[in-house]
Amino acid sequence: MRTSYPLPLALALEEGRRSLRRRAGLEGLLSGLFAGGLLGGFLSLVLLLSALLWGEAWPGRLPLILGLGPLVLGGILGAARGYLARPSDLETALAMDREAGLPDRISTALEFWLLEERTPFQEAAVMAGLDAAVALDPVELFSSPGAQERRRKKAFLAAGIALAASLAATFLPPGPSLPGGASPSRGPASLERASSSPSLPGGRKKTAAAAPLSPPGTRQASRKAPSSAPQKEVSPDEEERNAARGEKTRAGKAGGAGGAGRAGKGGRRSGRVPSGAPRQAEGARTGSSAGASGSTGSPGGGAGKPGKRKSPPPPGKRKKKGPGKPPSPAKGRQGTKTPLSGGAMAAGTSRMGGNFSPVTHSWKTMERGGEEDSGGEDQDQEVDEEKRRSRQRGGTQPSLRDRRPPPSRDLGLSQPGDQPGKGRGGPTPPKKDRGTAALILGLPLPDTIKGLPNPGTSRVEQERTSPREAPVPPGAGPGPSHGEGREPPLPAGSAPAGESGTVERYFEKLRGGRGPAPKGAGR
Amino acid sequence: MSDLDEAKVSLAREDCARFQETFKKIEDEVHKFIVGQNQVVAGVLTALFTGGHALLEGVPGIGKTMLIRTLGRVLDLSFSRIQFTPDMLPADILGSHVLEETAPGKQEVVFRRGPIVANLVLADEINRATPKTQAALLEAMQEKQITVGRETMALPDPFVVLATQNPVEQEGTYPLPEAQVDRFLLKILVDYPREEEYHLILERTTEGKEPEVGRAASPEDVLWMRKTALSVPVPEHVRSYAIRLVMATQPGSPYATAETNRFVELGASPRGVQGLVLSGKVLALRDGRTSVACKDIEEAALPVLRHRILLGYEARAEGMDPDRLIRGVLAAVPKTEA
Repeated sequence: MRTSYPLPLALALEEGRRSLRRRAGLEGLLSGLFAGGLLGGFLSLVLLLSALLWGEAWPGRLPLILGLGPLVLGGILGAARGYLARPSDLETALAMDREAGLPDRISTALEFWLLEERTPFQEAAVMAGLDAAVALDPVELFSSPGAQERRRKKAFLAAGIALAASLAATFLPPGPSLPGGASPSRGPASLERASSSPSLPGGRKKTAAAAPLSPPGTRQASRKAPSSAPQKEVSPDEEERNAARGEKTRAGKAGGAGGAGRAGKGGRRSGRVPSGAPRQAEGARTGSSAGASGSTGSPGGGAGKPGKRKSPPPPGKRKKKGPGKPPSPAKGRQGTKTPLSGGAMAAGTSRMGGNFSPVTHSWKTMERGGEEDSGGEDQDQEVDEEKRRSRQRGGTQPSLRDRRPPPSRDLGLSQPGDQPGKGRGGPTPPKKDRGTAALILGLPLPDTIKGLPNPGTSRVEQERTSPREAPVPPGAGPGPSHGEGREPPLPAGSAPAGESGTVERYFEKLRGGRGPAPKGAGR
Repeated sequence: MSDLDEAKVSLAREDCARFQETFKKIEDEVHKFIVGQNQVVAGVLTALFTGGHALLEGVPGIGKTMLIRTLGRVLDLSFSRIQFTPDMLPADILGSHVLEETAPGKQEVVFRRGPIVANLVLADEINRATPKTQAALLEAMQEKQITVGRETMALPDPFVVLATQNPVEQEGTYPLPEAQVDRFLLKILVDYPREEEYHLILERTTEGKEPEVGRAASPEDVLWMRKTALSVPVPEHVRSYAIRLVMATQPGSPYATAETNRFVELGASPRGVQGLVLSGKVLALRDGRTSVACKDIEEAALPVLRHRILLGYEARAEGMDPDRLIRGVLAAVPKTEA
């Protein structure tokens, strides 16, 4: 078997391999730049967003290093990997065939050349391959830019993103200080400004994102700062509880900083609204105002209390809800989005059933208000859990757990003048217009209750208790044993001390002198 | 270069050129009568020169029968046409023993040959016959011989079965069993002609200008072309590629694609690899090359493999057909081994 190729074939192969490696190196470089650029861009964007949203100030040139490091590293590694890979003869020949549009001529010649004996067709194939190899220019073959054009564009795009993002993350100052000049870590003064100015120039809502950076002492101080409404005394326990609740989200913290008492809760709730920082700021404001009015016992603070909701709020207290802030239409809309601001309904509209405007009052807000007044965080979690389950089942599902038992079907004679509902079927339960369970997964059907404008929420209350042992009075003996139902025999030595003689006599009489009493009887 | 035998090279090149020329001549002659359908004509000729059989599938009226009849005339081959019907019996195809009066007063049982004894057999609407009758073709197609009673008779060489079937009107038909479908080297889909081809068809068939079809090759030429095609070498990497392609249609094989594993119930058999390589040889010679390339295997993949792949129920539900699956396999299987 031959081991070497004819000269034209060997030369073409060597030249082709070199060009192929060069192209592989270039392609590896572009691929590495693309992958590294994506990674660097992602890291830089994360840093940039964290700086803009949470005011994190990154030290030195960390974003630049994190952004451009993967780019450079990826390019180097990709180029090295591409260039250092050494393709075999057959791979080189196939690549040359493919690039030149030859139907496997060079690769076939390569293969048939190594045979000892060749048929005429094989000889002809080798000859055809040699002719093709002589006619080819491998350098030109592998340098066509068309194939790399798309790869190059992608690599440059990724590198550009990485570069821009890392530069932005490096040189842009942290977020809150951008337009308004309120630095995130500037303590209570900045918070005062944040709570007093509803929006920033440029349309951005000011976030109270600086709250986590401020120490607890300054938070205490800042609570008092914005409240023009009277504040109630906060006990240490309540303060601790509020702090724990408020720490759930940053908006919650902001709410906790802005107001006392329920402010933390308000902030936490509004923090769930997924529209980002502006909504959080709104939540903070709502929380603070709700906390303030709640301290005075106004319906704004006790927005969810069902008992209180029925009585119209005193008009004077309604005005305390937004001190110094004239209500604007935009605010009204935002107010409906936050649960606590359901209490804001009290400021402008009647709470009686006839005035259920979808703008100012929704079933959802009433529900949540009720939850809030009950004060149980467990109930919140249960409702959240129920919502999550409903989503998993494909949409809001009707609540089936509060079904009433069916009316009695006992036949009876109806009296003249009876109401139709009290006929044979008995009194019918109050009609509820319930939604139907979603038959198609992913297509939510609202669960509506007639008379209310918006979809209601299913709320499931469950008492989670574990089996407990029944209390046993101290003198009670063991319960009846299972089995035959007879009394168990007296255990030996269980007769009271004074009655042992009586028992012994009883046994003697029972046996009629057949034998001695059982051992231990009467002892 | 000095190691190459110039005489051998020129001999191979001559053979190759002769093959190419004859192939082209036959094609041209057939196209005098058949308008368009280049792929179909090339496919039928490929089957003829590899010694295989072809199954033509298409709606009625697009010239399937006419093509095969024309081919018989062009190649000067004995031609017989069998119209398959549900009441047809194997004896109607193979032939049977009959009592014949050989001399006055003397009768003898002789074997009367059926229509299958011919060079070119057109089995028209083969799926209309019962499986029993279809099975009568099995031995003939594979062994090139028939057995009736105790008598076995060799069929003439070349022997090619070109069957047609209609994809519509499936009521009252008997789909060919897998064993029989596998014996067809190629399954060729015959489509409607293009617009400009309709003009030519009308010109040739409705104006009394029926073209004269002459003889382009003899049966000996056909046999020589078969022999030449068999001598075309297949490089190792091309052979490996054909094997990987066929294995990629078999669910559970290392080369199987995700679609194969999901949709295919039965992949292509080893006859599939044979068909790929044989067809590749003819295609290489037709293009004037002396060895098979991966491109030839790719070109042969659809007609060779499409009837050897049995898709499962899920494939029907998803609208997957064998051609789409094979295209996916062609795109997925690399030409060089990883």
